[in-house]
Amino acid sequence: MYNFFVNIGLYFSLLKGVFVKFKKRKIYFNRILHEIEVLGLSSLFIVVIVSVFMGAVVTIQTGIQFDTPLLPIEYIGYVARESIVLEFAPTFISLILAGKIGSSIASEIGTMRVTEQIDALEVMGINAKSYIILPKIIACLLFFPILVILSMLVGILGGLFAGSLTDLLSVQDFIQGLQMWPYPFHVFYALIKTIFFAFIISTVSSFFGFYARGGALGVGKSSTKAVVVSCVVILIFNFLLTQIMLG
Amino acid sequence: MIELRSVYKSFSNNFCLQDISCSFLPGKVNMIIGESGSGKTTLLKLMIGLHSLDKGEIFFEKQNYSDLNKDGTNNLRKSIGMLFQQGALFDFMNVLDNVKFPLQMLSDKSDKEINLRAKFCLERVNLLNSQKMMPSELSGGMTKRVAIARAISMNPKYLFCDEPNSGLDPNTSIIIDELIKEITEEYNITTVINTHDMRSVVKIGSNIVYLSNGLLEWSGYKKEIKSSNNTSLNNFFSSSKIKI
Repeated sequence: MYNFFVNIGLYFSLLKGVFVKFKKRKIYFNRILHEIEVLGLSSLFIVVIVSVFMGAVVTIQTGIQFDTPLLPIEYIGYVARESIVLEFAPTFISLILAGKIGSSIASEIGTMRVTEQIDALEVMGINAKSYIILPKIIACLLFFPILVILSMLVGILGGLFAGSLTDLLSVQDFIQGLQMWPYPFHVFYALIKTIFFAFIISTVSSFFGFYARGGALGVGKSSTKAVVVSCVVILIFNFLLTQIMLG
Repeated sequence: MIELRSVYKSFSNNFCLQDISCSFLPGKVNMIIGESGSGKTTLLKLMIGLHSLDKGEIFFEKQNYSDLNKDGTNNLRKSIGMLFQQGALFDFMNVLDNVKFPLQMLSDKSDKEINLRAKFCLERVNLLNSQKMMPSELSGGMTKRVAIARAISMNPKYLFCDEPNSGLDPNTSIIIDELIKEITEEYNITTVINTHDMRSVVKIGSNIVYLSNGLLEWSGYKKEIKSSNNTSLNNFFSSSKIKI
């Protein structure tokens, strides 16, 4: 329990060191672009693959539940849309990204720690926390919403194809369902959640990487811890934000 | 000159350094020697501010490190070059960018001036042809030479080297040693090397500080070692089978 509170303190102390005024804006801007490429663009493939099948499965499972003539078949499209927008795209994709991006951030920073690259920055008088972590946070905050919007679109497309390929419902019925009771606030809610999750993944993973100890083994352990803790914190915040925004 | 006065450092109530007082001279290769675990690296890290002192004072040209504010510490750090044991080059930058990095972050020079200075430093360590290579493509000796080029890029007054010859073959070790000595004399740098390589001590060492179990056992000029009656130092030297 003592360690838990020590780590919470260290985490906020790390954040305090990250968000400071910096002079060399051009260098930071280039670092942000680099991180967008490394963390964001490289995640496009996994997001698309996961989203297509997620949308397809949601549609088929919803169709199975709607096995009654009392409910119009178009409702499948509506329920699939709401499930994908409200929960699957922001939360499920964030959990996937916690695994991919979180472990990548923690192992990269952890390796910098154990190979003395962070010490080298500090000896030069450069704020290592800000130089290494801030571009990653900004890149995640900027790119996660794009990935989640893409996931929503691709997930819905996956549902549409799965519905028509399995003869569950026609493309026209699905599209009709998608247009039922449009509620833009749900998209806004999903994006707010995504921004929180992006912050959690980037900062928690950076924290575990920055304080990694014990060579390659320590880097591996910190990477695993980063993913596990990020996922747990995401689930807790998912509950809290849902209660606050929709409850 | 760097002067240490009654420096103490402990980790988890186990003392690592106790009552260390010594000085490191400008334009000379100063060496901290001792067995593994004697506190050499800790002493070096205290001097460059990676560890905090428990007690004592460290003076850089009569300026007490502990008394400096944040700006003062940053200014002092601009005058420090550090060669880490494994080089500590940034993985995501090529050789030229690694050398340019401190200049870009800490100086107000133009891009052209930065480029010229970085290339001059790379030429000084004979690696101008490898400027586009990534750190993962370099040999151990090349990594150390790039790290030296990066360390001298800001024209430092102080150069600290943590075991510069570790993991290198004898010939490459000699090249690195000679390079450090030349640079020290050329730019009148206060160089502090932490090593247990007695060949380096004999070849380039000038002022020697010998640590044993966290205590300062002996300090003086290299030529005085022979006439020293310190048993621990004599045993340490005789075990290396190298003649002074």
